[in-house]
Amino acid sequence: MDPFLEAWYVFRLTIAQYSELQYVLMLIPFVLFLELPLYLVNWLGVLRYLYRKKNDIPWIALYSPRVTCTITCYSEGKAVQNTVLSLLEQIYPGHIEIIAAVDGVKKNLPTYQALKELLPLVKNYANRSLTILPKIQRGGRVSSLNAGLSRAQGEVFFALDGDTSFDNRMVSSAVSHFGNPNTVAVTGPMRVRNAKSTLVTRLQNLEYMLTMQVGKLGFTQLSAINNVPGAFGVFRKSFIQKIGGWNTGTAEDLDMTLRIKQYHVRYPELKFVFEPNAVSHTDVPESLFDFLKQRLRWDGDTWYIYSNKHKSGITASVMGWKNFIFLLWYGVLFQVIMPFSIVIYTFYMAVMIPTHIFLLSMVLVYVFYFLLVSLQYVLYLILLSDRKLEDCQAFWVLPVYPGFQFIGRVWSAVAILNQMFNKGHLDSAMAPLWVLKKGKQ
Amino acid sequence: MLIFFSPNKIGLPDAYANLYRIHYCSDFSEWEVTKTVPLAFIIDGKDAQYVNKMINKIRRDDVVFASLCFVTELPAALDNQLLDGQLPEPSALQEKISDVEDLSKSFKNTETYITPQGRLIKYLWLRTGFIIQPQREWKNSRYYRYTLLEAFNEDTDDSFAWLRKLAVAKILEPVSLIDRQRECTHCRSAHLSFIDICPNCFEIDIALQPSLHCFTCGCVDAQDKFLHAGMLKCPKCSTHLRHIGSDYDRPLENYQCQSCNHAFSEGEIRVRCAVCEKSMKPDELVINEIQHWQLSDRGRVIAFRGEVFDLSSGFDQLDFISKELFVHDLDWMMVLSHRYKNISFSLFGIYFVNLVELVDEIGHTRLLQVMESFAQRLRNLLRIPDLSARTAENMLWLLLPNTDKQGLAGFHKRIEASMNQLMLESDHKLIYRFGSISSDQLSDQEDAELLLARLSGELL
Repeated sequence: MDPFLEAWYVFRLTIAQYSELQYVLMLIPFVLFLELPLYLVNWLGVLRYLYRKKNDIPWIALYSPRVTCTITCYSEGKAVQNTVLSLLEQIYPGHIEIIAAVDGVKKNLPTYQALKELLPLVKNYANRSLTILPKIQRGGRVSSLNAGLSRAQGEVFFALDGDTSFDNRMVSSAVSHFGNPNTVAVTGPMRVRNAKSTLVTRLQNLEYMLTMQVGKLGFTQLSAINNVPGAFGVFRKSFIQKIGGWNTGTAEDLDMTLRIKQYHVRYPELKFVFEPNAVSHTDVPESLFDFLKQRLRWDGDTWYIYSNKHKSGITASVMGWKNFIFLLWYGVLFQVIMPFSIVIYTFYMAVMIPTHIFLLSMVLVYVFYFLLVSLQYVLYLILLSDRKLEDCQAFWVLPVYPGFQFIGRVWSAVAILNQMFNKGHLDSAMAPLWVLKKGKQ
Repeated sequence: MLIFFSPNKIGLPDAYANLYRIHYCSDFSEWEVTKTVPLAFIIDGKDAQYVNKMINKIRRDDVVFASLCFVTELPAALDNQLLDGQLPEPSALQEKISDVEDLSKSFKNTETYITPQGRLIKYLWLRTGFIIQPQREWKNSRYYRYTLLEAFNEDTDDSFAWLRKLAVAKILEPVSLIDRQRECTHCRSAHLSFIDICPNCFEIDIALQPSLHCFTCGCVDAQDKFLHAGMLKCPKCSTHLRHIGSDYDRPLENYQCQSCNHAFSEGEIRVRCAVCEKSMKPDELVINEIQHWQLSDRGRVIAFRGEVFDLSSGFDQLDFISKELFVHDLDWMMVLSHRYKNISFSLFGIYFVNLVELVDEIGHTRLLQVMESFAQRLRNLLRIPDLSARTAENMLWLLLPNTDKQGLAGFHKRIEASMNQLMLESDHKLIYRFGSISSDQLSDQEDAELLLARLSGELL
């Protein structure tokens, strides 16, 4: 108890004596310059969306072309049936062509069998077709997507994951944006399907609400989307074919997003759209170990893409100032530099300042983040959530969430270091090594 | 001599003419004038229709029905069951002809070959390893046809029925099963149409009705009633249904009858015959197993011996019951005598050891007479309630109710006496054994099957 009492004492002393305030001021650059403005801009975007939604004339698209949904399957097994079923059940008058590409089919026979079981069911649905694409040689996710792309007959191409299912309005609400010839890519909110499984999934559920739903919605309103996620991306097929499909290597989704962004100066009219009604539900890792493994790949890949693959593409002259600044701010500063600054800063404080003051700062940081997250969560619940009752459940993990965020940030730094010194992008479950090696090193 | 049927008066190559005398005919009636039996027929294969006409006439002829028949070339639409294939090279032809001559020497030409059955046996005997195959013909109401059987038996238009008789008589044996066909109960046609109908009112007017089941309130209704402006909304509780499996699902009842509004998941299936237009249920259909057949051992015995000895004809007057029924009755008797000690019965077995060998020694006609007179005497020995059954060709069983140990001994004496008569008639060459047991000698653990097995074990 002593350190806490001392901390409390120092806190009072700090308030009383201006000279001690420098410790508190140490925290300010920590959050103020990096995070707060980002959240602020984000919520301004959300407010803009809400304003538009309220005042714009609802636009009902009569555009319902043939669309192709490519599901990249691997070892999902029976779970893949949910994905296909949710696509069959779409309320969409046009034809939905479902292509299920099973990678390494010899190893993943249960997935293949599960898909084959669905074939007789497809006949019961009008305007739906299911093609199973067994790939004997495992080529990874990119190869599955490109295989689907080469067979696709639809105008709009959905790149979907085998462990993700969709609301029945997903296709119609996503497709409606392609009535505008300038729209090239659409994505939508991702929700956590297995939120109730463990504490880790509950925490990720809250994270998805705040980043995938609030974050993406806000930034798209400002025409700056950070990533069209691999598990759920919708593209205009002709455009994707023109730019050559997906590129080999890991983090193909971020690579695709950046490649599209690099058309911005030449074709400023091209648009990314975030459609809040195109809801997808995905499974997230259930154990802390699996979660960390997933993030090791994600965050490492981000660095790989920024530092290596698109080193020369990230300039204002190629992607335009708005995209460039956003990318520097969110992509580089927030995703790459901040994890390191947090680790270094925390380490520095722990070493340089007295323990009780360090603890006090940590408590302050915790309280600050708790309030920040709670505010965002409540705003989300009131303004955005489409499943309010379900989302209320996340309330209980709010106190733990700042700690979870902290672990995530520290782990990001580890992931980036792993990528820098260990070539982590070659250790991915998304494709076999011989495929990954063909990518730009 | 060879006979060459050709409508266009062309000749065979010299290689054949050097070996055999060749007689040319343009039509079957031309041959019928002389009716000379050739070593083989050769038919000009240019015109399938012509070949068909000729070959059917040859196979239906009283004399040359089993002759070798070759065609100069094999047209596609030809029935190969009646033909012996394409005309082989002269040397191979010679070989085939001599094979057939050898076989026909060993064939016993009794009067039997006048009957369709005898003709078929001869045809198969001369062609070792011949497989009787059905042909598929969609215009035929049975779909499958055995053209060979049709050619040999013009008395019946149902070659399947004849085939069954041949199989029961064990002249033919199955080689492989090729199809299991469902046929109309009334006319045995295979042209059936399956329709699903409403299980409630049996009307045909049913339709697939996509329906939904709301998880919130349990409402089940047609999908159209849920659709509102591109969204699914429950008509009862107004819940917004977004995701299959978590908000709603599809109920099993997917069909609706348009005349009685009954909703159901699976319609009832009715079968309508396209030939006789009668309607029936699928489980009423007759199952016809279509098989490949060949001449059995027994058929071959008939071929070289003229007739096979068949006990069944000699014992016809004994009124055998089936083995299953006999076992059942025996079981019942055993239970009965076990429960009521005043009820007794006896079981008597007769085993003829060398019946088959005897055919060669005294001739089958004589043996048949012997057996007939034995059966006559045996019938006189039996009382009305006595039961008899035959479990093998040479194994008879008698169940004698109300016969105790003493009665059995008396029966044994009487049958022994009639056996002496039988021995005289068969020149003392018949070997037979008796086995018997009466109800008071039975053990409690045994049932009828075991008892029969034990007794026949003692006899064999």
